[in-house]
Amino acid sequence: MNKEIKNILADLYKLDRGLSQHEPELIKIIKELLASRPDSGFSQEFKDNLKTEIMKRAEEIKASNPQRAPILPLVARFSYGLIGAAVMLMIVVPAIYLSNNAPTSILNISQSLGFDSSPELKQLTQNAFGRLSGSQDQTTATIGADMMLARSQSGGGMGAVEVGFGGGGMSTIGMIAPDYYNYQFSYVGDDFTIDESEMDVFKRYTSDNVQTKLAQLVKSVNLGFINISSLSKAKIQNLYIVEDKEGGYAVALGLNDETASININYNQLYTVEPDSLPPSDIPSDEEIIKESNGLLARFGVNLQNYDQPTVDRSWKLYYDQQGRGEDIARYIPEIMEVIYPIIISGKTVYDEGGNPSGPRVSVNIRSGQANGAWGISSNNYQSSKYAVEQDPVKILAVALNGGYRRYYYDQSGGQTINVELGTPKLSLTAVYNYQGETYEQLLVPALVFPVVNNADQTEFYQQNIVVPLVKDLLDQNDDGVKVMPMPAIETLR
Amino acid sequence: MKINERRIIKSCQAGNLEQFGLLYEQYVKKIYNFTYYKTTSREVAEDLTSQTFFKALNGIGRFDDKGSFSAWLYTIARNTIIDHYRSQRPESNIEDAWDLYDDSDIENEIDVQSDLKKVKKYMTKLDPAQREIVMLRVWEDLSYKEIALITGKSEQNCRMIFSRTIAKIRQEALIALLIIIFLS
Repeated sequence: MNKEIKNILADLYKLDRGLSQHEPELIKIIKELLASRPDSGFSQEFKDNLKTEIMKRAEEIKASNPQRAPILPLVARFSYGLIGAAVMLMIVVPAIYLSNNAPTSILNISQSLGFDSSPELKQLTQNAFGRLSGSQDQTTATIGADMMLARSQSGGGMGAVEVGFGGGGMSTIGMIAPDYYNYQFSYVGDDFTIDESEMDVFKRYTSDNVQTKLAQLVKSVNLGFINISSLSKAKIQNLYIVEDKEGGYAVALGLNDETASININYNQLYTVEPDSLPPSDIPSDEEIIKESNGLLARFGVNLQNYDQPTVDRSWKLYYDQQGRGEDIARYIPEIMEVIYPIIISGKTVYDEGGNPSGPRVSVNIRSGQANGAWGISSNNYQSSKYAVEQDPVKILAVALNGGYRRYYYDQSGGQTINVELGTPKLSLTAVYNYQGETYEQLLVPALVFPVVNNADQTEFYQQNIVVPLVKDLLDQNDDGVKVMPMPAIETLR
Repeated sequence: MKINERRIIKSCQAGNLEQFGLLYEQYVKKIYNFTYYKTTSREVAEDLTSQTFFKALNGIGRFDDKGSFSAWLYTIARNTIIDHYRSQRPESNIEDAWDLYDDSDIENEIDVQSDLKKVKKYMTKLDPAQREIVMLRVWEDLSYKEIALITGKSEQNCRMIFSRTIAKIRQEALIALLIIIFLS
């Protein structure tokens, strides 16, 4: 038996010792496989000719473009302001510490710099954030109408039938009409009660302490090419810091709103993209979350502020749908996302669409490396008591209408899908409270009803239906759908 | 990766593309054979091998020298072959010549020196992933690590596919024997 066969057999036995019982058969098969290797007819003439052509091309490339520009797509995604701030910090900070002129003052500043890492919760008086309905309804409706108008105008004659399905910018020629579904919601959960008449509404708050002190630090250095010491009331709003090494990370800090994102710092790109990974190569959720947790731990993100992380498998929905039709290549994304739902006072935060809300970490499943995180923020909140709806009948009525922000319209002739809702959980949901030209995000108490009869999400895309409990919000929602405005549609007919 | 190979690549990336000839010498036959096994046509294999090396020459500046150059080159070849079939028969899901419906395509091209019956006996019964791993492991003598990098599968998965492929061949050989016994 030659060495090649021995090696192949050894590999096989590593996987299954039992195969050794069939060794004579296996040797025969491997010998036949080896013997069946076709003669490729590789010729010296072809080799020499191709080499001549390739070396000629190499000379041409060398002559026309001897230098290659580095590819830094990540940096390009950030504004010049951020890059400028990064450059400045890279210059300033070492300069400060190397300077003998004012070491004491610098040390004093640096010692007093920093956010408090533990989350704070400040209780304010009742209704401290004003009336939550305020001008929100009207403003939202206006924004929605503008969006719809813009969509329809850019869509090139989209009729009423497409309304609610998006598709802005697509030509109607050759468009595949979507399937229309009408949703019939029913409640199959247990009876529930709301025991409290008031509950906390939360608003995240930030401080400009670090922005101001960092600016003092930078202002005290003579940069040579510019003098910024004359700036008054200076704040550093953004920082972009990179690990200048292959496989290092870049951190973008929004100091004005105390947010952060992390991205792998690609110094070189591996551009060849092999075929999509097979399903068997997707790591388990545990493996993906372990890698994701490792990245957050490295950057000191406190996981105690978040609920159990979960891997976003929404790609599977599209993957499965692709498989239903013709024989086309189905794509498995190489980047998986892990969601860390925010928890405040023991309640998980959801967005209005019923998805857990919080930071996300992306993990490259081909390399097994976490390559980014975003949505990281400080976790300091103010809270204020607001009156909540206690009548389960009223709450259920909103849930059975598809939730507070209902995005679904009944279309005549559409297929009816029954959506069953289970026993709700008391949670928080993010709403935007508009105040004139500005808005603020508030986290309000809400009941989250799980959709219990649509595990594969084939016909109804939401996992949960969210009903905020604050009376102000529910009262303004009494007369039905307002987010997707019908008047705008009417004007287009 | 061998030390001198890494040095050659660094040199190419620094602009000394005349060094690319050394890489070419080392890999041209392997890439040609791989291409031939998947196309069974000398003419097509020569064309696709040329394309592969031109692509590698143009892209060597972007090659991550921490990776495997061999796997990178095979990946380019593999994608070039897939592109070839897609351009030839866009309506079909063909990954190599063994998927072609008309056997004559193979018979016309395969050299008379090879034992066509033996080749067809195995290759046409395997799915493209199994065929590819058999080609790379048995015919090209590549390690599972290299095969994993080329095919985009995990090393363990490649081992498993190869093991199952051998088991399948063994099982089918037994079934064939039973059929002969029953029919005789």
